[in-house]
Amino acid sequence: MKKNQNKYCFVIDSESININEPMKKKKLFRIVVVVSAITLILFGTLVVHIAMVTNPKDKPHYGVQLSRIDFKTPLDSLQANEVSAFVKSIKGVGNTMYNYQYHNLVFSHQVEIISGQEVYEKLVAEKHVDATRFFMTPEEIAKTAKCPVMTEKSVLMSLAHQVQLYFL
Amino acid sequence: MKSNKLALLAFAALVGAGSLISSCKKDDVKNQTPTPPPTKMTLYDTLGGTTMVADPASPGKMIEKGRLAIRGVVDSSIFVIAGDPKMQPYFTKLLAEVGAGNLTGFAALSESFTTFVATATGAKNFTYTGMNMKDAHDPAKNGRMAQKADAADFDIFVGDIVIGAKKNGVPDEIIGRLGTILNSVKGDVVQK
Repeated sequence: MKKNQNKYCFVIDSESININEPMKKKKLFRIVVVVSAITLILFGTLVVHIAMVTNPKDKPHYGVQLSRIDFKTPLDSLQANEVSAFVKSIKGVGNTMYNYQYHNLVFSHQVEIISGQEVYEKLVAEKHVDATRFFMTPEEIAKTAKCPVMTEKSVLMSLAHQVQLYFL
Repeated sequence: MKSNKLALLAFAALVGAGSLISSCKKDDVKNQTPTPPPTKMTLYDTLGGTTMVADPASPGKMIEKGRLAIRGVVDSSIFVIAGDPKMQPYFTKLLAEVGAGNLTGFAALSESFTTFVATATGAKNFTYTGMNMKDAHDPAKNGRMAQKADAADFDIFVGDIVIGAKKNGVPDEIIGRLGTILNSVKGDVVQK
């Protein structure tokens, strides 16, 4: 009886192994497919989310650049107003602010319409002011500190740049 | 006999109705939710709060009035900072010209700083996700900080914000509250 029982058990085990092996493979394959699909969907969602959130075109000041012109001699209020009015009249220029303490003019402009250099050249050509355009070389920018709220080197920002590069 | 029954029924109905009405009144008192004490308005609420208005910088889009007010102050302050040579080492990207299609330093700083100030003043619909102020101003933890900021630089920065706020017509009382908020992080920012 004991012998039969053992035999019986052996047969069942053997059959179960033989029957379940392809099923296990099939199940494993299904799991891999489902997990891959979910991962793909989640990654796609993340990419779409990043694309939507970090799209620079959605920023309120997209394309608005600040530039500065430094005057070698201080301007009085009349001259400052005249210079500001002229710069503001140039197509693509937004706001202007003359800084009396440091005698410079800060102005905003749409980079797609006009560059800071072009504004400077127009001002010098028209008003004959003794001034230089302030600009920094890429090396100077890399050397100096930046505002801490611009987290441009974070992993998320790197991913965002990639997303913008390939999807926008 | 019949009239007595009717009188009794009428009396019972009157008592029943009376008790129902009185019990309703009691229930009303019991179920009445206590009036919450008036909550103190945040600075964000004072500046317009969550009321949606048209965004003048983005045609067709809406923006919370509080955020719009803060962005106005921030943008004016950024102009002041850009013209201040003492702040230049901290905000070099502001005047670094970028090519078309890239986010300018002005747009990036305006967005980030507006969110930071909006959150600090009590906005609920935005979250500042940058580094905390202590780590952000520690060169050992933030490679973008070339040097530790000193108290004098911080005061100049706050002064530039005040100038920007005044240019934007912000009342002194609100500027004072804004200054209090900015000064509350001075201990974290000044590390020299």
